[in-house]
Amino acid sequence: MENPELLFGVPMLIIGGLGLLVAIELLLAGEAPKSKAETAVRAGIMAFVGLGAATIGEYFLAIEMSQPMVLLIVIAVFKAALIVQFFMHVMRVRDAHAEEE
Amino acid sequence: MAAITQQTPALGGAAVHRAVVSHNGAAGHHDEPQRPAMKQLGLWLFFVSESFLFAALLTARFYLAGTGRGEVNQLLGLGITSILLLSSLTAYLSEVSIAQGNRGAFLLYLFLTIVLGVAFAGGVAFEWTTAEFGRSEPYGTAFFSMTGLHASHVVSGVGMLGLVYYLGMRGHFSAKDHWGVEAVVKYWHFVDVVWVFFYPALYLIG
Repeated sequence: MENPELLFGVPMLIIGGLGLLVAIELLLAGEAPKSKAETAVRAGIMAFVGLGAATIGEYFLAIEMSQPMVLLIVIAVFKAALIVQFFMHVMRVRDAHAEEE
Repeated sequence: MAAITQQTPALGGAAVHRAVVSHNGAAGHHDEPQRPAMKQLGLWLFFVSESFLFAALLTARFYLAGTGRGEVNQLLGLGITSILLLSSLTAYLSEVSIAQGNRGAFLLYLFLTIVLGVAFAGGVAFEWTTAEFGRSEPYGTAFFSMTGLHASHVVSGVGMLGLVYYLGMRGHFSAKDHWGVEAVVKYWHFVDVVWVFFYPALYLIG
């Protein structure tokens, strides 16, 4: 393998990304929310913080590493998942169908 | 009207009957029955079809230029990416605000989203004018095609956000009825998702 750091880097990024998603969910579920709106705002801000951190991470990764392509793809997928889950609420499609039925 | 209403059960459905009666309701405006599932599904199918278009361009970038890259302004790339991500947050907060019936916050966040969208488009335009590679080079072809198509979506998104802002100023949308806001904001997020993949492909890989 040309880049042995990928052997550790990719799984670490995947685990870290999943960990962040779980942490956000736990934080949202942990405290009794004062209102639905407050929970929604907090979720949006936390997702944005995750997106910002990932963007800065991929920027420095591209500068520091010679062949960071795989890692950058993993980060991009993670960022897209954050947007689709927390900003676009993809699960509402299923919920809306369940409600109509 | 009465004739149509009487005929609807024979045409096969309470849904049709409800639609006709509701459409001509006392409010005097279009009060169509809400079909959230169909609207959501239709919007997401549109996103899927758009994704194929952007995926084709993303593939073409690596087919044309391999993993090579032209000289791009890295700080500008990071800057416009941050602006677009921030605009997704303001768009989201705008949607949350109208869902809570807070019109002032809804309009403020929507206005910020429009400003950030214009700033992003301006950044791309600046990159175009200062690019050190030509359109005929493989990387240049990919760069101008990808950023051009994406920027056209940003501009159309800004236009739709502007329309929603105008309607919001005139009292349209409420906590119960804000599908127009939701759909346009989702479209804006989709444009952001596309850039999430375009940014590393154009600025970081290579």
